[in-house]
Amino acid sequence: MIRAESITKYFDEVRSLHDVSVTVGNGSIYGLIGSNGSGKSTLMRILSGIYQPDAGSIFYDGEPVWENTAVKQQIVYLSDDPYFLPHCTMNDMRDFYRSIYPDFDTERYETLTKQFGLNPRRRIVTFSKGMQKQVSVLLGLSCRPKYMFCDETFDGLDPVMRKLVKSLMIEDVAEREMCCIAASHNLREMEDMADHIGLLHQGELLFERELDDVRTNMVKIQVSYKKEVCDGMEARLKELHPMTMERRGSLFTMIVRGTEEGLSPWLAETSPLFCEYIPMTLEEIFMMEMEERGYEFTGQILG
Amino acid sequence: MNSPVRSLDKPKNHVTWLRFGLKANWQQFVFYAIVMLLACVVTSIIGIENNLEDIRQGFANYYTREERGGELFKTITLVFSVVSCVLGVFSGMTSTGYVNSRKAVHCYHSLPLTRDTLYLTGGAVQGIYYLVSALCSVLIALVMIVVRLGVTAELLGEGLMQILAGIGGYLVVFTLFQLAGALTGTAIFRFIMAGIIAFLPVVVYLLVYWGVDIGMNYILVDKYTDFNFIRFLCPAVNIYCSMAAAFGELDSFTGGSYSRLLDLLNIGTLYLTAAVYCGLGLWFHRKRRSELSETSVLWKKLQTAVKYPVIFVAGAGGAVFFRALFGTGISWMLFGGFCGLVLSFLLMNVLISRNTRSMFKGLPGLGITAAVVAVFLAVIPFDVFGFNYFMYDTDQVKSVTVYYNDMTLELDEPDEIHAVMPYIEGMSRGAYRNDGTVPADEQYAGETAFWIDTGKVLNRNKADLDALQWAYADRAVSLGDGSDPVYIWMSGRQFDVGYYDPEIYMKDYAAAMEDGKEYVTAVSEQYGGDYSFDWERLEVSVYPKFGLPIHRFVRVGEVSENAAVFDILHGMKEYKNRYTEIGTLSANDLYTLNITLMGAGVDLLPRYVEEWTDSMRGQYCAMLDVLLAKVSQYTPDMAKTPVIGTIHFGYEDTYRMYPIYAVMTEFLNEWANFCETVPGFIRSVSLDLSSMFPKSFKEYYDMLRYTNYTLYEDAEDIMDWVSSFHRFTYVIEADTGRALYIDESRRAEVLENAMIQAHGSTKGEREKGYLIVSSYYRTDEMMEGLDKLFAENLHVDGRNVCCLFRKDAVPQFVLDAFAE
Repeated sequence: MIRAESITKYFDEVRSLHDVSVTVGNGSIYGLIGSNGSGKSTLMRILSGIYQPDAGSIFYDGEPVWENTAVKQQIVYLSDDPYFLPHCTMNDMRDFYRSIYPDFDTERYETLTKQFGLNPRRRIVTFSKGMQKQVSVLLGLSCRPKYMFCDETFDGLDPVMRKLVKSLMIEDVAEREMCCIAASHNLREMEDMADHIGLLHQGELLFERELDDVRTNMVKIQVSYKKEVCDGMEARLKELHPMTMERRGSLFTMIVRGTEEGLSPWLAETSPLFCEYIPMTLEEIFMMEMEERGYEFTGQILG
Repeated sequence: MNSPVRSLDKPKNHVTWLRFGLKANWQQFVFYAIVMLLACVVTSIIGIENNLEDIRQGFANYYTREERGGELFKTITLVFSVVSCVLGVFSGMTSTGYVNSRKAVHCYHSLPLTRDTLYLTGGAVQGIYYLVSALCSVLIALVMIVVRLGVTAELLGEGLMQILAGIGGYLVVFTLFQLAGALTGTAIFRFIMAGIIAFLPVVVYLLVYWGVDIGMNYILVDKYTDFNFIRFLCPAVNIYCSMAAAFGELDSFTGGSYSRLLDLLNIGTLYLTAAVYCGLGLWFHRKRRSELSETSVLWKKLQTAVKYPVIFVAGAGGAVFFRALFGTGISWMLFGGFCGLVLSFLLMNVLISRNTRSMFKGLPGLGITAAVVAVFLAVIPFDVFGFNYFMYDTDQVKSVTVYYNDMTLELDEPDEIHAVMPYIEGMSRGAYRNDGTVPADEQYAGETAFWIDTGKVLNRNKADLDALQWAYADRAVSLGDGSDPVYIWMSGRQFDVGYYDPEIYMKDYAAAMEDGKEYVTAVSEQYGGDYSFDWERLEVSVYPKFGLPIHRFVRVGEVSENAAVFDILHGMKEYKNRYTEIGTLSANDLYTLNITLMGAGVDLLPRYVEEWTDSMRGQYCAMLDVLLAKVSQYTPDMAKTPVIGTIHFGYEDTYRMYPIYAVMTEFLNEWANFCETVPGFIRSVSLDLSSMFPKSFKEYYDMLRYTNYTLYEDAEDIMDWVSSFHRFTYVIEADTGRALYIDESRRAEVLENAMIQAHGSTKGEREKGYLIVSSYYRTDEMMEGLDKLFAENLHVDGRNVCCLFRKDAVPQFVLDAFAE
């Protein structure tokens, strides 16, 4: 389990992170989302022991990560811009990682190499950017880490490869209880993968929640009434304290905190002509949560 | 924050990572191996072949085969050392090169390796590559030399010492660049930082020293000017000294004498320095923040610590430099200071921030630095606070130490202190003025010296010779080759500034002589013709009962005017004892005995005229012993008479020099007697056969910076070379100084019969077979002879090689010449 407490980091006078606390359990995928410059990469680098925080502490199962090789042997950090030894091939990099990570799985490396369709004897510098990302993921997964940090890892991968990589990660999480922390500015990217979500904005963790909780705790409802009662119903619907409510003629669309089961009896008493519970996107959920906290977001923030 | 920071690294990780590093960077090993093979093995092959060829041709056969092998091995090890230092730069740049790339830093620091492991194993990989390639190469070279030529044990020892010095030099440079890398985030700034660490302290020191020197303020000067102090400040000097120590030559630079154990300790300082750099580098590497890679200097405070000292050095240096270049006026000094400050400020800003928009960042800092420079200039060259004049009251003084005539004399009796302090204070005050100049500068200006080979001014009085120098420059006649400086004229109280202006050339020697004479005559008339040589310069340290000691040079005008001081000094037991010692020396113990009277010096070399019979040598040594006995007759009256010369000994591993006073009449009579007797005995002449040195002598001269020698392997080559620039070859009669000319056709005869003397000043040098060249200028007549040559515009290189002829092999024409 990763436990980061009150992490603060400054770059010169610029505050990059402020009092960020994160807890990530084993066997989970933590999606770290936020706009550009929100501090995602910095937090990832601090969590993986690359940067030292100006304040706060990080523990992996109670052990500090900073300069702790025993802990770091369980960590793989996949950078948004992967680094490879100059002029080396994939096999050279395999040797490189194999010399450092005791659990490096050569067999898996070979299997994945075939699966990804990469030539292990070709110099990595000649690969495309997307292929280089594939190589970094492949090598990272071959290390069989307990903790994997993916910083914008899926950017630059084609949809097929993205799906493959996600499935491989999910497989490792399921089989080995690997803990994956993935950073992205694209919320949709995380939707079908993460089970925990944290939102960073201007160096502060605004929101951290299990995705299932988020989804079950908020519903989007479309409900329609007879024309003559609509005006009266609008006032009545406000008793539900909707987070948003929009009226188009006799059709009301609103997002309300609560569950379908809990709200259905109350709505049934209002005798609607039509009532439908629409699945909420992660983006909508976050918009609601954040607006509720007083943050105004534009679409681009969450991508 | 994670605290405490602790390393949980395991030795296994170091080994694993090291093994990977060694395997992954094999290309670098190939590079090291190629460089080292070229430096050691290929050079050895060439050297061996050259030596074998020399042996086949019978050239300079008084060197044994093993000696040749030893000398070659020494040369190889010297090349090895120099190349090692260059490779140190490569190693230092590559070992932790990843820190200059943010991408690489993110990768490496995410790995389960501590920063210590990365730093140490990265260094170890380079070190192992270097050591394996270097030691294998030098071993192969040694084996080849041993097999083909052989090596004497002593030269082998020196070579091995040089290898130790070379490895030490490599480690110093390597760890220096590693340290610089730990402090910076870019490759360029790593270079700059290495330069700053290596040279900034010594530059600051030299700047202060220079500022002090130009201001004629001798506070502290020479107390810290020895190499031991500078080498502490500057690793480059340390490497240089250690390499010299390896060959037992450090005493040439330091003026001291060293044993082999001390030489080894000197080399050991390199390893110590490398260890310190390594430790500092490791500490900074731990502390460096990963996110700061690709920035110039990692710490803001360090940026300031680097930026402003550099600006200070540039500002103060510019001011001092322009003052030195254009005289003591304040305008040029301000200009130089302004240029230095502003340009260095702009440059440092650009280098640190890596963009030109930040060029003017930190103007208040520039202002503060300018103020510090102004204070520096006010305090050092201009002495506005009067430090130059400060002297403790006599009652406050605990003791006074006077360094005089190669002796340190300590005065600690109250009577002695009371007697000497007023003079010291008076001499000290009288020597300086408020603007830092010395009145004597203007009063006695008139010395200048030139390198005769280039005509460059070597030495001149700073104040009043400008017009004279430009007069030389207008006369365009080249003087040909040669190396020694020629003092065309010397006034009485000349004061050496010790710099030269490469733009000023002496073109017409005879005209320059005339100008010099006229100039000095004019000055002489103006100042009453007071041009005696009897001034002394004393180095005085005054130790107070409480407070810091004051170290000063004080210049004593006329010895006779300050007789009381010299009475005290000469009356001291230590001083007398030193003279008494002379009488206990035997000519047989000496490796050098030089007597210089009225500017004309003679080397009396009893032991190494190899053709002498025992009886001849015995007779000669007995005569020298009489001379020594006469010199040792100390009398208290000596101080009251001028110093007219020196006697200089070299024995075992030391040199000693004593003044000869005019009152030493017994010695002078004996000397006159000696001069009358000896010329017929030695039968020596002086020839300008300056090229006639075997190879090792060439090295010796190279060491002395006579770099223009070409090695000639037989007499014909030498003649061709000599003829190329010597229109006349001359012989100067030893006892009369008459100049005689050798017919061109007789050169071969001279060369054939010439006998190279191989002797040295000390035992150590003697064993190495160094040649000490000497001038046989002994008499006024001889000086006239030289003057005659000057007047005829012939080349005289100022350094005449003493060439003894083999017994019964003096060429007839030379005998004829002397018989005339």
